[in-house]
Amino acid sequence: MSTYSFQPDEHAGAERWLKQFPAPTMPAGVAASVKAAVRVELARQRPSWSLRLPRWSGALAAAAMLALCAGLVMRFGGRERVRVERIVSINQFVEAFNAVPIEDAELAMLSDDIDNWQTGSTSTESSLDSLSNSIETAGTDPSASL
Amino acid sequence: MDRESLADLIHRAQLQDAAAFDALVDHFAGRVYGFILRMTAARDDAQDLTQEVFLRVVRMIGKYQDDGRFEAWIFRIAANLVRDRGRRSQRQPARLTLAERDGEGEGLDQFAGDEDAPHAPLERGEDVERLTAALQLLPEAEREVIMLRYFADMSFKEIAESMGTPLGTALARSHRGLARLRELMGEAKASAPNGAEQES
Repeated sequence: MSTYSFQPDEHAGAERWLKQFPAPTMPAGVAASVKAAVRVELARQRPSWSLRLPRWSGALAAAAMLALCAGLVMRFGGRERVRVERIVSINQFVEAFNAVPIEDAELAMLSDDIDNWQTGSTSTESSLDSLSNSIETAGTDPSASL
Repeated sequence: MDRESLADLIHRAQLQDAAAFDALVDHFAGRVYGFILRMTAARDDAQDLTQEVFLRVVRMIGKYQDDGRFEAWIFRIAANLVRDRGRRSQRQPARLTLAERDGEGEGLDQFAGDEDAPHAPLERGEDVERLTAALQLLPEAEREVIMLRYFADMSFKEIAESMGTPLGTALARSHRGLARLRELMGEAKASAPNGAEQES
């Protein structure tokens, strides 16, 4: 079984020896045919290449989703705020309404009418009482006329 | 090409800029071709696989994250393709051997590719042919380590990661492969002009 030891200098010398041999020369037509094949391949790949999404498409989709979510939150969040504000406004209105003294002229007239109605009712009752008394009196005194 | 220019090219290629791919082909295709040719010793395979490497670059460059080692990345693709081709064919990717060269020589004439590369005198050189043939006699893993060092200038750590082996294994493969290669090339008698030492 043969063994060998690796000598860096010796190895470098062997590589230098090999380097003295010239590399094969590529025939002139090969480069042109390779370029032509490359262009055909580029043309073949172009449709799929254009349809391929760029690398940042994932990030773009995520950003679009975030924007959509933010828009939805803002939209529904806004409605909720208006609703709360409306409730607050109604409460404030009721409080303010109760705090304001009734000085409106129409309301005062209405109040008077109610009072008058009560007054009127009382007078009607007394009139009826008077009438009833008259009837009763007439029943006892036939000469009396209505 | 400096690092900034290459980074700009890669960025444009990731945006499917055809001109950027042309520039990448101009810059890398020669070495990719050389690597595959040295690995397979078959000109047709080298052309087909070089084209396939760049088609895969087109398909995969969108996922590439530039760490300054684009060259290693592209050669890993090439190495994987060579391995896949070898597995699929269920045979050694090498088509030429020293025996063939020493025999009829027809295969090496084909390999030399005079028609396609008429202005590559060194490529026609006998030593280059012998080197190519000798490389095919190495185990594929050793050949791959040596060629990745040669063409892609990859570190042993990168090669080990690319091949899914421990670092020590990559180093050992390179050491064994180079020693065997020099032996096959008759380096003992040729000696290295750059001072490379003879294996003991």
